[in-house]
Amino acid sequence: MKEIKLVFTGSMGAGKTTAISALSEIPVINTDVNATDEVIARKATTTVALDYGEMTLPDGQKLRLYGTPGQERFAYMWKILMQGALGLIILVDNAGENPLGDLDLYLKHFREDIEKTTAVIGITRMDLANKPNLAAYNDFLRNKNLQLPVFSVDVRRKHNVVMMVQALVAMLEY
Amino acid sequence: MQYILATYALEKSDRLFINSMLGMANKKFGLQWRLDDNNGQATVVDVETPEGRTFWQTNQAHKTLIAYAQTNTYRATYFLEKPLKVQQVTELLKSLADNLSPASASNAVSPNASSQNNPAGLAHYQPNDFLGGLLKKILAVEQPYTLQLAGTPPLHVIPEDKQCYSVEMDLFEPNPIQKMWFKSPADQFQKQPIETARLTLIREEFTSYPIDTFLWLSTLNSSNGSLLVGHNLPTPVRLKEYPNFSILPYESFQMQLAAFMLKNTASIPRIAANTRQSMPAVINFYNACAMLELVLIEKTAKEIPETTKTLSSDKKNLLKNIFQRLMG
Amino acid sequence: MLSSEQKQLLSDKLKTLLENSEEISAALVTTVDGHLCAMRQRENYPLDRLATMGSSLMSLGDTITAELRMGGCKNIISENENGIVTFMHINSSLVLVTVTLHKNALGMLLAHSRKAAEEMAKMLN
Repeated sequence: MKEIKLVFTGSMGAGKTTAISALSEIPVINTDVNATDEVIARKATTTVALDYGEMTLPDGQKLRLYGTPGQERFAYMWKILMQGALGLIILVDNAGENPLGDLDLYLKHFREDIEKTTAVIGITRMDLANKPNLAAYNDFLRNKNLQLPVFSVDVRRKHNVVMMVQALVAMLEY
Repeated sequence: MQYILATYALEKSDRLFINSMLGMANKKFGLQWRLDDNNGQATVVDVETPEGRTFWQTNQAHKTLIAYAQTNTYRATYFLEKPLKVQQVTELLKSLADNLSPASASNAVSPNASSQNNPAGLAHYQPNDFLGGLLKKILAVEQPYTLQLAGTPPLHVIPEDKQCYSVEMDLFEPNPIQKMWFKSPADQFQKQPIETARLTLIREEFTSYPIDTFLWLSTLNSSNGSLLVGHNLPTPVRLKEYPNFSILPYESFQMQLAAFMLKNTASIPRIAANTRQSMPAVINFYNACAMLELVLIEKTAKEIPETTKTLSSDKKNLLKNIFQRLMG
Repeated sequence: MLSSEQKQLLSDKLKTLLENSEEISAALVTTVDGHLCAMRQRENYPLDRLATMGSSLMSLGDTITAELRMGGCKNIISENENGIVTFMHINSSLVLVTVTLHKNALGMLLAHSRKAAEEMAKMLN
């Protein structure tokens, strides 16, 4: 049976594991290890392989939720995890050093997949840093000829994570 | 005043039942309804039949239709639930009579619809008549104001913050008092400028909400299926960006409308047909998006054909299952 | 995390490892989050990428054994058409990766790699 999956990617500390935890029926399986580099100033641990969670659909099928490592040197995992995915959720930490640069990185790497399926972008921690604002993100996407939903989200709130997945599903329909 | 009701694709027994209900409604409310399947100001359509569904899709843009089904999957403004009950039929007829203008026997649609710009019988939506218009004016002058509607908490609008300040509340599930804001006419609001000295106090004492949330809710709740003034039904439109539903209370079908309108250029009737949503629901959504300046009007663009993107039935079921699971 | 002296010591250890066993073609030490610390090789391998991938694989191994309640993950072995790669912890922060082109040298590879890992762990302590 073909795997049904969604992939969460995005910058380190943007909330991928938290987002998957908000939806997953099982405790999220993660491959977090202690960070040893400059990352450690922002976050003590980092994902080096994947996060995994799942939801059971009404017909009994499993919707598998995968989180990728955030750092670019693990890009080979991005490719592996995106194979056969229904769609992609990109989380961007607005309190990071270069949020638009981060988004650009993921759009570059995942462009082909996005064009074959779709993606939704969630901007996290806008309460801590309100620039760039959503208009800037939408302009950024327009310049890249991409029309994708962009939301400000708090991934600790299940409602926000559900909303992103609902938008993804709606985009897949049309 | 004479009113004419037509039916389409109804079982003979249902048709006879409705005919007898016309008599009861006429007697109870002092109306003059009669049944004429050739010509009606409103038409009851059994949307659970293939021919009924086709009729609905073809005519919902320019006729007043009443969906007749077990559940209101079309989110129709006028809906009769199966099986028919006396009270719901008579009340529907009264409601229709209140909204329709009387017509000659040969006029099957309301005069306003002849311009093809508006659903039958309903004037254009004037945002200035409601809270949304007040907020837009305040934003335009860039001065802070307090809006006060009798029986509700004050609403402090500070344009430089792009926020409204008020008591703590859940706008995703507004209570009846809060709903009054969104449905009350603008002239019922008192408007007072806020002195600069009070701004800090307001910011500290009250909870802030994006102005966009209020614009959105006001428009959705007061549009009542009437198209925004200055806009036309046949003009192709699209969304320039997806509404930020993290601050805009939404229903799940609006997610789908947004996705369709983000990716496709289409007229409002075409949007309704392709997304299988009722015209009033699409119009209310369109108005709310327009108030947030999310709409691109593409007068010279070619709209997409009626055939939509075809998904396999497996994929359709999968997406439906995921949506259902998320609602649960 | 590691001082340059420590990295040099690790590099020397890897040199000794390759000198003591001619079947070993390459060896590297990586942090658990995929940063290359030291390496030695007889050929040109993409050791930077191997370091990062090694960390992913090691953490997957740790996760699997934790799920199965099998205790710590001792090593992961990739047996391939043209050789073998092994991955094992040196300590909680470092991983040793060794490569041989000899398909039948698994026992040798594991034995030498384990010894080297233990010595490196002692040295860093």
